[in-house]
Amino acid sequence: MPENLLLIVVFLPLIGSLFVAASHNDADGTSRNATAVSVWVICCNILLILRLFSSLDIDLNSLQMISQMSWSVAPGGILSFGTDVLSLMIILSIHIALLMGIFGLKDVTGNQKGILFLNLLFLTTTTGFFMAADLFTFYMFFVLMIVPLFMEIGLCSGAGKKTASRFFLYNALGTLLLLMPVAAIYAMQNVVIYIENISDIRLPDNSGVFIWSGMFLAFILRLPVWPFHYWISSVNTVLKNPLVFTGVNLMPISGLYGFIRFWPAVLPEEIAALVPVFEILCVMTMLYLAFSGYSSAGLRDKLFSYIFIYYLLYLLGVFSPTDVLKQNIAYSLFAFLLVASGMIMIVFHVDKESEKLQNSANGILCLQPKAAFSYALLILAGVGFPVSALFWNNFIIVSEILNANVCIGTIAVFTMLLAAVFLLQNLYDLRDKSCLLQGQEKIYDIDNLRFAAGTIVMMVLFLSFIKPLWFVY
Amino acid sequence: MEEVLGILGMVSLMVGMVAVSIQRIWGGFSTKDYFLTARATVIVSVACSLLFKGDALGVSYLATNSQTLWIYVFTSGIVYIWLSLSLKWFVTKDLPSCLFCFLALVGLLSCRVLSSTENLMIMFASLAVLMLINFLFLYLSQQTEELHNISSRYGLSALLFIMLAGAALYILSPAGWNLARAAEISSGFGLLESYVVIAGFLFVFIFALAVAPLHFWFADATAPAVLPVAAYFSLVPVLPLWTAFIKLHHQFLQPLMHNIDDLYILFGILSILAGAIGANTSRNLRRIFAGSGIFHFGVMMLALAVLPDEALFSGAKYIQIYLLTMTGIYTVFYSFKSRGDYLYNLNMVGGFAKVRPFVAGTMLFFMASLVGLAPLPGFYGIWSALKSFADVRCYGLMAAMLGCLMFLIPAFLQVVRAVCFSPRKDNFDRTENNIYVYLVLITAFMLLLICQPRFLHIL
Amino acid sequence: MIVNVVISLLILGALSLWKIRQRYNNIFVSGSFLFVAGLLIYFIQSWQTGMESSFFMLWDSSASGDIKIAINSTLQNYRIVFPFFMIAVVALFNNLVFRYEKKKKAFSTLVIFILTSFIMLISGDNFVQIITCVFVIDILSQMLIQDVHASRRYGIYNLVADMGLFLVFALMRGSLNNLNMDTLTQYYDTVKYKDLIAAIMLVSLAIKFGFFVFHSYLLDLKSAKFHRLVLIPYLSTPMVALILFIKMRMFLAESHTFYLVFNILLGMTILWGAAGAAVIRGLKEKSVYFSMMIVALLVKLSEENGFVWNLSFSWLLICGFLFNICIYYLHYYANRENNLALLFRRQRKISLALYAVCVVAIFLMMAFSVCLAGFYSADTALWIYGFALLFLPTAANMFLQTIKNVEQNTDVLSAQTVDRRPLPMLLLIVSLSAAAVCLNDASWYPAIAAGGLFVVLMWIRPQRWLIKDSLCEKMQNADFFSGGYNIIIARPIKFIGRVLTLLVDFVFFERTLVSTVMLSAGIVVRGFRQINREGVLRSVLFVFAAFLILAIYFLRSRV
Repeated sequence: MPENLLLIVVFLPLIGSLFVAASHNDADGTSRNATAVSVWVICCNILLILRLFSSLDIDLNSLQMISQMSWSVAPGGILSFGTDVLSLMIILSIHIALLMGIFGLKDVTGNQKGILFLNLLFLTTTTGFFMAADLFTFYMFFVLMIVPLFMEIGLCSGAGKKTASRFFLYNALGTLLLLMPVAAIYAMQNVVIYIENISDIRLPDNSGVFIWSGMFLAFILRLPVWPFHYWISSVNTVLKNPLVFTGVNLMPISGLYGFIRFWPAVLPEEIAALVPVFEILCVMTMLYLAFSGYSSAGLRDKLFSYIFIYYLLYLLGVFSPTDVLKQNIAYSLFAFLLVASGMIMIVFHVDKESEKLQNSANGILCLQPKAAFSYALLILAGVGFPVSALFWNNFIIVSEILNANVCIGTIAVFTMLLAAVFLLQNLYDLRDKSCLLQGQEKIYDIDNLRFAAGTIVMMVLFLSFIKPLWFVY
Repeated sequence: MEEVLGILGMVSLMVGMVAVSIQRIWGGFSTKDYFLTARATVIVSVACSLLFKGDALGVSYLATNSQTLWIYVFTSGIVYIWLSLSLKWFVTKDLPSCLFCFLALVGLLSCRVLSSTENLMIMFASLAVLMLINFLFLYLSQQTEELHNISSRYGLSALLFIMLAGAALYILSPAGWNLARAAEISSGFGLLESYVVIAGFLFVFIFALAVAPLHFWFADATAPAVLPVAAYFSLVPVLPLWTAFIKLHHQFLQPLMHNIDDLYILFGILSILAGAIGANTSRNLRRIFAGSGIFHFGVMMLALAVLPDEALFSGAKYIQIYLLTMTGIYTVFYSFKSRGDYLYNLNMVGGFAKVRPFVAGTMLFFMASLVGLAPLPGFYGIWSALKSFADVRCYGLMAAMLGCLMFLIPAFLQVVRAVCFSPRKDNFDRTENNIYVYLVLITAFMLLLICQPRFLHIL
Repeated sequence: MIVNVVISLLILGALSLWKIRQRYNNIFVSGSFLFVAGLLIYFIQSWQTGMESSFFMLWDSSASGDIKIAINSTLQNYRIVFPFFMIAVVALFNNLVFRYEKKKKAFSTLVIFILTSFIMLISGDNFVQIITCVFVIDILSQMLIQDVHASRRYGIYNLVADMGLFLVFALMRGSLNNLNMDTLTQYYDTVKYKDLIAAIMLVSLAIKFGFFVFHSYLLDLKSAKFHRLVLIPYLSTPMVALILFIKMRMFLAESHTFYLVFNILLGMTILWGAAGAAVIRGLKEKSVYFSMMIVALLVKLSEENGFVWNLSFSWLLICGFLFNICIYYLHYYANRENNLALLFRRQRKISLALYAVCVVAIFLMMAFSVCLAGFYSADTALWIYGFALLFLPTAANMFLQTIKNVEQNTDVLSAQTVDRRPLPMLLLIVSLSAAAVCLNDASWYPAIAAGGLFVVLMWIRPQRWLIKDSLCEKMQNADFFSGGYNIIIARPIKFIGRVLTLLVDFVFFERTLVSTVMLSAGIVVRGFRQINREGVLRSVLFVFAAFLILAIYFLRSRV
């Protein structure tokens, strides 16, 4: 039964997307039907995921509930799905993040139905990706993820159409880089290869370098490590749709997840030499992001910098030569994604409303008490105050990074600090009443739905602080 | 008796040709009638071929097996769809369609012969007929200065290669033209004779298949030609030509020249390069997809070079999936219409997705398949090719192929941007119902292939 | 036992989160005061029994180790908790009698939660619990400050300090692979990166203590309400720093430069505090400067006393807080005007109440001196006398200056009545001062000397000759340290950020890398288009190429 549930969770959004495609727009051009379908599908899936959690052996450190679908093209003739705490936590957080993104759509005009349709497709592909148990399924969903997102970016980026192409090209390069090693591995062993056992594969002569570096680069390309960060920074600057922004910012998890799954402890010796290089690149990028986030005036730029600093922190955690961090990364990532998506939802609203102000957005939160409350709490959680699981799990992650390399760990903490400082400064600026001028156009607060969503997220975060798996019985 | 029944499929095609000619001579028949006759002929021919499966005219001439039969059914299906879709153009423009239908039937017959023959003479005769039909399609379609020049160049080039093939056949004539025996006889030839034989047989095929460096005519011919003609070039003769070429390679070229694989690899790499870059050089939709075609033909050449003998014919599946997808793409092209004219430039189709979301959606689906997006059927081909390269540790080939695929993607992205993301620039004509029907059918078949890839074995 | 206290406080805190009608607020505030006061009595009784116990609760477990919540009821912990408990009770009482706090219930709740966090910080023995409590106290303190301007730098400075602690603890946890602080002795044996730890701890502690150079965020508190401000130095970050300093002492001792720099900072803080308290006219600022002095002295005494937290130390701390309350009531009866220079212009005459506050201050000085005397030794003599020399005249000057300025007022009519509500509070201060004197088994001489000296100094006011008005004027709004912060840290970071964004994203990627790729692709495409241009020659060329290739292959294979 749980095995079937797994497949339902993967494919329910796909079915939902068909309903969204078939739904009618309202007379005023809004897509309430499509929104309702999307919200219900995601909520149902969340419930199913929670049900899956109850069937999970939390202490078991490997993929469980393996379910298989026959598909003759795949090596071994099957596609395998499975899950564990890490993947379910990520999937759950992605569902919640996208739900928040949908709530944020209220401020956005444009082809909402199309975006919602593609969003559910994206959800299917991401869920499939994080539940993939074998290499082939993993690759398949790794590729598929980029298509709906590319379309979403294209549909909402307006004049920046090149952005969508750039996004696709960068990611397509990653998928092709992964395709080569996958094909090479299956040429050697035409059987089902579970992704957890990849590091056990012994490759002949010089193939190891070719295969492992292909995979390594494919994952790195998904992450904003310098010099591969440009695709995501250029995409983020033009996106004005919170749902798509959320989707784009979820993409790097796929690279991170690849590293965690393939090489939880140490990288194969053929490419082990790459790790220090990429660790240095990681912290350089973190520094770069921290500085640019600090210096930039835009809310979304700061948010972008913050999000990616944390992704890179997790990457450093993954690179550290230990596999005990998997669970901590899962808990932390869960909280982080919730925080980030909540912040995205509010920042986009604030950003839009601030266009009505004559000078800057400073002080705007004084006119938006609900947004101010939610945003302040989310920032507190986001910068690492002990109100969510982010806090102590990051503590453990940082401690392992420091244990592996003090310099890198110290720089990482410094960048976290800078990120926290610029977020806090931004919060104070937004709450600074003295900056507000009289006679401004009416500023609207977030609606009750978004406020409730933000509050629920905060409650979930707080409960996750007390016990990360509080919802598992 | 079985041999006679075996040719019933072909005979019915000939009857169809005669019927179309009689209709023309008799007069008073409309455009629709010619198309009706042609389509009915195709159906009857396929039905006869399926009912009477025996070898036609003996094994040494036209060997019919399940594979050649399927190729014929597949090609006939494409021809049927192509004819159905092309009808509208003739009706709108009020043009005579008799010759078009006649040539279509002749082309199909040639394809049938080409894919099933075991005789070099018959093979090259049917190939020559196919080239002649290509030339006539170009020559007789709406005459512009550009098309005139293109058809002349095509005619001249084709003539050169047919003559070369003729010379090769002449050299082989004393020993007969049976494929199986030709190779062993040719191994005793002198340098010049061998060169002429190989060049004659190889080049006429790679010219017809538009494999680099003899790819130059393909994009030139498809881009400016009227849509029914462009669709013919891109869809109809491709599979029979490849089947024949694989047979020629397996039974004749490879035994004759053992390191011909290297040559294929060179031609393959040139093709994937030429295709990928060529697709980016234009905003003409057909040229872009012609580039994609050349790329896929290049991949096919590479696959031929590395595939083991027993798996050679499985390479034809790659082409069949490609053709299935391209049929979908061309069906979409038939819906790119404004004020009765087919639109061929990216600037003209801006915002099409906003008006026809389903058609645009299917186009995206087909394009995704063409670039080998898993789990779409196009991926199976790319995957098989990659695996075959990996089997022989040709990682360089894998990298070259994927690198060129990477270069092809921007061209497709251009199309997506124009169709889906650009603002609407033109009023589009109503999409005909048969376009929807074919799109649904092709999409459904591809979805079926995704869900049940075992249907691939039918291909 | 401490754990019972913690649980009771948590229950009370949780109950106080329940929203009730405004009119029931006072009932709740009174109830919570009584409850916490009762808990204090229970706490003292438990302390007196001398029973020690430990309480553990598994918070969470993962492959990285178990995280436990530990509440150890040791005598040391009782001693440390006591002053904070007392301060919290006084603060709750003050809240009860004070009329200008609109959100009394929220204030009480915050105090309860801060106290709980303090107790858990003191009694905790694992890194996660300690760092969590530190962060929680910071958040609660920010909420206590309430004002955006006041909490801005407070929040950021403390965040910097907290992240420093976070780094140090993470470093230790990584090396030990254990979250418990009792395993620190292993770390102590090896002491990796001792200078790094010492440097980070120094900065973090200095920020949290509000030492010289890092104190400017405390001055921003002038925008906060005074009765909230007085609580910050004694029930917030500086005290967190003190507790951490005591807990981490053994590592810091490993770095020789740490104590040297630390003592310089202590000395400078006392000096700067005295200067600020003397020169600056704002009562809120004066309160901050006095707190700086007192906290610095407390730290020094603790260090000299071998980090032993005795009763005198606890009472010193309480007296420091009560002194802040006195300044607050000075401000309160001076019609809540912050600037001393402005008092005479629009002040009502309420000098009787002000005199009462002065009398309370004298009692407090006596109590303070008695507690201080308990730490007197050859090593501390210089510090204690130096402190007294700076503190007493400055404090005396402040009190008398306030009264004089009020009395000089001729513009405004006399006040009709004196607000009597704070009087119980003043009585409480006197009682606590008396308790401090009585409970310290020290001689009465220091008390008499300090009280007498304070009265004399009020009468003489030596500072009126020492401090020039022109200097005063210049000093009022000068904020050297925030300017320094901007020049040394904020602006360079912004500059680097902008340059990097420009160089990396725009110049390197957009204009160099992407442009080069696009240009190269363009060249390839153009070249290809050129080769493939329609024409007979091109066809011939391709055909020739095909033949040539075949010829080469053919010849090679034959050879």
